This record gives sequence, structure tokens and C-alpha cells, in this order.
Amino acid sequence: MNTEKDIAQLMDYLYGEMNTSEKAIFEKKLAENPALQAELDNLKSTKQLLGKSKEEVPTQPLVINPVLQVYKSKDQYWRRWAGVAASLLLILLTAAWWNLSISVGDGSITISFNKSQQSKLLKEKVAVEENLNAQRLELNEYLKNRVAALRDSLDKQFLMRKTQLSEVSSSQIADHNNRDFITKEELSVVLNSINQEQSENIAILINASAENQKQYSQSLVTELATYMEAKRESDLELINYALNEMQMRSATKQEQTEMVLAKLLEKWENE
Amino acid sequence: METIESIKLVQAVKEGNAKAFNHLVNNWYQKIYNYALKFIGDHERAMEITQKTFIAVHQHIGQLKDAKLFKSWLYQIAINYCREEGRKQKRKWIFPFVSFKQQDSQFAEVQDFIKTPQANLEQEELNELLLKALALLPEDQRAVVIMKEYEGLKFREIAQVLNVSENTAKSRMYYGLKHLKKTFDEWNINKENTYYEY
Repeated sequence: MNTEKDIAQLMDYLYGEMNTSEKAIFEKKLAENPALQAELDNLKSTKQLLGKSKEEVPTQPLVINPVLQVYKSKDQYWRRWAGVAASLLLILLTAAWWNLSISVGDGSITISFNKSQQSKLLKEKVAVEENLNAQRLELNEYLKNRVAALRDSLDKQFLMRKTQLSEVSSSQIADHNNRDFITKEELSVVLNSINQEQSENIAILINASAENQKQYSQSLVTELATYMEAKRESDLELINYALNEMQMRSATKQEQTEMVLAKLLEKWENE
Repeated sequence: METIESIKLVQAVKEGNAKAFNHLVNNWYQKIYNYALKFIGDHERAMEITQKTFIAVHQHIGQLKDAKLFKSWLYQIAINYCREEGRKQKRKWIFPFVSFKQQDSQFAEVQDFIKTPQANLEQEELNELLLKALALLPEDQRAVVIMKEYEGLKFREIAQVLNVSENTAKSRMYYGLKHLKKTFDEWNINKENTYYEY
């Protein structure tokens, strides 16, 4: 039975890993121990048999570069998809920043930027409408006052005419006392005079009302057109800015991609 | 002992030099292939293990702190893949050599040889039988026998690769050789019928 030390020495001796002095001591030990010598001989014969196995030369070359390139390609693949993901993220962020809104309804697709801007415009629109309503109310009030004033004026004129008529009547009564009656012609002249004045006043009132209505409508149309133009300009500016921004980012991305490709090509050529 | 050139080469690979890596592969791939072939006993799987080993080298060489330790690190990777392959084969229940004695067709070849002890073995036959004999060794012993006998590693290096003591490496070598001796005797393989000189 060999000890661990014997085994270690046998292996060192068999494979030439002993220095000169160790070798001399072990050879002396072998000479004194036939069983150890027999053991060594058996190990040597086995070693010799093992040594008859020739080293195999691979019949096919090691396909390592294409595989590594596949790994590289995977890396590139990953990078490409990371680029796409980054671009998508950028677009989403831009959309979120500009409040891009896409809605489908009534058989049409609506794409709009900047909802907050829209809500601001909406508020402005409401304010303009409120302002217009206020102006309309003011105009109505003005017209009402004007009509009331005209009515007062008519009432006053009527009272004045009535007084004049009374006076005329009194004088005519006095005359009548002399003549005892008012002629039909005289009465007709008075009534015609009253009717004519009333007609003129009504015509003035209608003309004034129509003129005011026309002015109000014109100002309403002008303000609406101004508002629509301002809104269109604002929308165009927003779209233009967003497009310019996206174009700049795309150009930067393309430049980066070209640089990465150039580096990869350079690396590939070096290989 | 690592040469200065081989250390410089490993250092260049660590720095990402592709040409140096190709050079490194050329230096080592036949050795690793032979190691895997003797460990696994199958050409295709040995090529696969060799390929996996060098892919792992390419991917992880940055983690190798000392270029002087490249050789033992490389064998560690190869051995791990060989063991993994061995486990896969055991799971598949088709590991051809472990159940060698029960495999009628393969065993019949050896039986025939035993019956005709005068027959001389041709080199190819001898290679095949040696591979089969190696496959019958326990994995720990097989790893040491191949590294020592065919790859020429020192016991110190083998101990480093397997992370065991030198005495353990020597002990595994010793029992591996005894095991092989027994197998060769059973198969009637000896110096007399292996006249072919390599």
C-alpha cells in the first residue's frame, strides 16, 4: 500500500518533476523496494500506452470569427433597437411636450399639437365672445335709450302740438264764437302736419337702427376673421417649430449612426 | 512557464486587439480541441466545446486579472464546458462510454479483440480504444490524466486549474493510471500488440 508521499514521489519521478537530489534519493528508495519498483514499471507501461495516442488535427477550421461577428451583430442589433427605442421615446416626449393629440371620430383623424395652447385660444375665444355679447348688450341698451329718447321727444312734440292745437282751437273757438265752427280744411291741415312729423321721426329711428346693426355686424365679422387668422398663424408656427425640432434631432441621430457605422467598419477592416 | 511573448499576446487581446485574438486562437485551439476530444470522445462535440471556449475567452478576457494565468484560466473554461457536456449526455441517457460494458455493439469490438490477442492494433483502432478507456475514468481523474499526459501541464498548473492541492492532482493521476492499466489488461492491450510507433 503506497502512502500519499509515495504516490506524489511516483508521479513526480514518472513525469520528471523531481530535481537531481530528489531523484537520486527516490531511485535509492526504488532499489530498496521491489514492490515500489514494480508499481513504477506498471505506471510506466500504462503511460507508454497512453502516449501512443496521436494528437488529432481538427479536420475543419475553427469557425470562430463569424460566430464572434454574430455576437457583434447581436450587439449591433441591440444598438439599432436601442436607437429605435430612443427615437420613439424622443417622439413620445416631444409629443407629450407639445401635447400631441390624435383623435379618430366621425370618419376622420384629427392630429393636433399643444392642447394647452388650444385651451388658451379657446379661452381667448370665449373672452372675445363675451366681449362681443357685452358690446351687443351695450348697443341694445343704447338703442333702447335712443328709442326712449325719441319717444319722449315725440311725446313732447305731441304735447306741444296739442297745446298749439288747443291754443289754435281756443282762438278758433273764439273765432267760432265769432264764426261758431272750425272748418274741415283747418282740422285736416293740423292732422297732416302731425302725421308727417311722426313719419319723419319713425324713418330717422329705423335708419339709425339699421346703421347701428350694420356697423355691429361688420365689427363682429372683422373680429372673427382676425381671431381665426391669429389662431391659424399660431398653429402654423407650432407645427413649423415641431417639424424643425424633429428634423434637427433626426439629423443628429443620423450623424451618430454614421459615426458608429464608420467605427465598426474601421474595426472590421482592422480585423 | 508562460513566455513573455505569450503574456504580451494575452495583454494585447485584453486590450481588444482582434489580430492578437486570432493569433491566440491559432496557438491554442488544437490543444483545446484535443483536450475536449479526449474528455468527451466525440469530434463534433469537441469542436463545439472548443468554439464555446474561445467565445467565452473573447467575451470574458477582460476579467482575467493576470495575463500569466491565461493558460490555467483557458483550461478551466474548457473543463467547465466538457463537464457541462458530460452532464447533458448523462441526462440524455446516451453517454456512450459510461455504459460501455452494456453497449453490445461497441463492446463486441473489444470482445473480438480480446479473443484474438495476436492481432495488432492499427493506429486508428488504438486511438479509438484509448479514447474509450479514458471515457471510463471518473471525470476528476480523466481531467488530470489528459492535462498531464497530453497537454503536458505541470502538477502545479493542474492544481491551479482544478483549484485543488498538488498532492490531490498527483493522487488523481496515480489512480487514473491504475484504472487505465486495469482497463488495458481487461482489453488485452499491451506493448506487444501495439507495435505501431507514434
